[in-house]
Amino acid sequence: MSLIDLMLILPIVTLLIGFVSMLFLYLKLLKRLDSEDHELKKHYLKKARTEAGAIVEEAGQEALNMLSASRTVSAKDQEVMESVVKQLTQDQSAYLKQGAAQIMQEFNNQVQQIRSNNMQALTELSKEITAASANQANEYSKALEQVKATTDKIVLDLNTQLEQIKKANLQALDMMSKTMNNASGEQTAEYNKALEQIKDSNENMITEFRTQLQQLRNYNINTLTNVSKDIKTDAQTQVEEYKKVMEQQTVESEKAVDKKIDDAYKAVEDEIDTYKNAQLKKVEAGLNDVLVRIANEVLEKSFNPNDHRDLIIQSLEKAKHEDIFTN
Amino acid sequence: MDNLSYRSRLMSLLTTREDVYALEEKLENLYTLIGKVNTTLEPKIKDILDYNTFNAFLEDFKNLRLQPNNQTDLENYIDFIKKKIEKINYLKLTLAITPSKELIDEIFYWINKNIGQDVVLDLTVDKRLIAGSIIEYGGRFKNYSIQAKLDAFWAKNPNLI
Repeated sequence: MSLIDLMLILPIVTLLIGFVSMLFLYLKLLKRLDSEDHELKKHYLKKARTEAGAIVEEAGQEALNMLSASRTVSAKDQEVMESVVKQLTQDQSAYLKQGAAQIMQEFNNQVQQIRSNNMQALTELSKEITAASANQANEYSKALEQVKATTDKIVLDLNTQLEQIKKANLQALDMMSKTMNNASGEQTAEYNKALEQIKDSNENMITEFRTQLQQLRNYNINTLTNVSKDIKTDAQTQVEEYKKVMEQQTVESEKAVDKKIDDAYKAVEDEIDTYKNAQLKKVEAGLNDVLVRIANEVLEKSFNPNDHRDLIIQSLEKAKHEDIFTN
Repeated sequence: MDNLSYRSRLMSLLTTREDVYALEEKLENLYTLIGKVNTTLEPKIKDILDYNTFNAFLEDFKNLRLQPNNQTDLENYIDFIKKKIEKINYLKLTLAITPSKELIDEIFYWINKNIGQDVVLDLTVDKRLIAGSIIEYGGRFKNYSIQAKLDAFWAKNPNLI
């Protein structure tokens, strides 16, 4: 190897040594950087964990606040609800009173109307019955007078006939007496005796006949009087019965009205209950909405932009894991 | 221009459905240039598109060996992008908060990495979710919101309310 060769090789060797040294230094630097990077990573990991811990703690605090807020709201809403229920109860009471008053008014009107109708009907019927009875009584009176007149005529006729018989008897007696004048004394005595007997017998017969006539007349008068009385009694009985029927009908009508009112009252009560329940449900629904809204608002405030970003990326990761993006 | 498998730089800018709507509007405006502009097209295109879109547009033209000043190339490119738009898969994401640009980018990055590059976000905000999200993709639906968990909790513990 010549000197020239050496002079040429030496710079090359020097350059090589320099290059190797630089490479070594570069690798060392890389290692150091890697180590620093590792430290940096560790540092940020630690920081992230601390921050995560803080987030968790903050979320816990927010949850406690939320619970507290919910309780406060619950108490407030409880008051509101109680107030609403109280108002509802007052409304219900007033409504019931008003309804009851209206119903009672209607009831009284209806009863009054029924009574008035019944009374009118009863009065008209009484008038009819009275008129009919009076007419009947009048007719019976006329009949009675006619019977009396007929009886009197019969009695008069009989009397006339009796008088004629009496007269005929007297004429017969007179004729007999004239005949007797021509008879013997013994015969005359017997004839006189017989004549006296006939005379007595005639008188008795007439008396008897008159008594019977009088009895007949009395009987007829009594019969007609009793019939008149019966008619009057019948009319009174009819009126009384009709009164009873009318009273019974009135009571039944009142009962029917009572039932109607009870039904109406029940319907009003049911309506009020339904209304009350609907209002309570509305209050409850409103309360639930308030609670849910507060919970949402509290939660919403507990997320910062980084939390949002993390949750969005996490949801994408989950979607990928659940094969949402697979074709 | 039939190669729909080409990964367009312009399409890669689309992150949300709103971006798609904005691009469609720009494409309609670009269409108006065809047949009416006799001078060079490129400055007019630059006026219509914003900086990033214009750069992506130029990159696509370069990759596809098209000429920005050629009206036929422009028309073909617009049709090509429209076909790509029709094939977009949307991931509908309902969130409890209005997402920041950074959060949208992060979600989009996750989607590109885990689902694919032809997916665009369809974002909706519904504060009732409280936190978490509702995900709808390819006809599938999943509710990962705190509201859903809370509903399940209330359903399990009705006596607490």
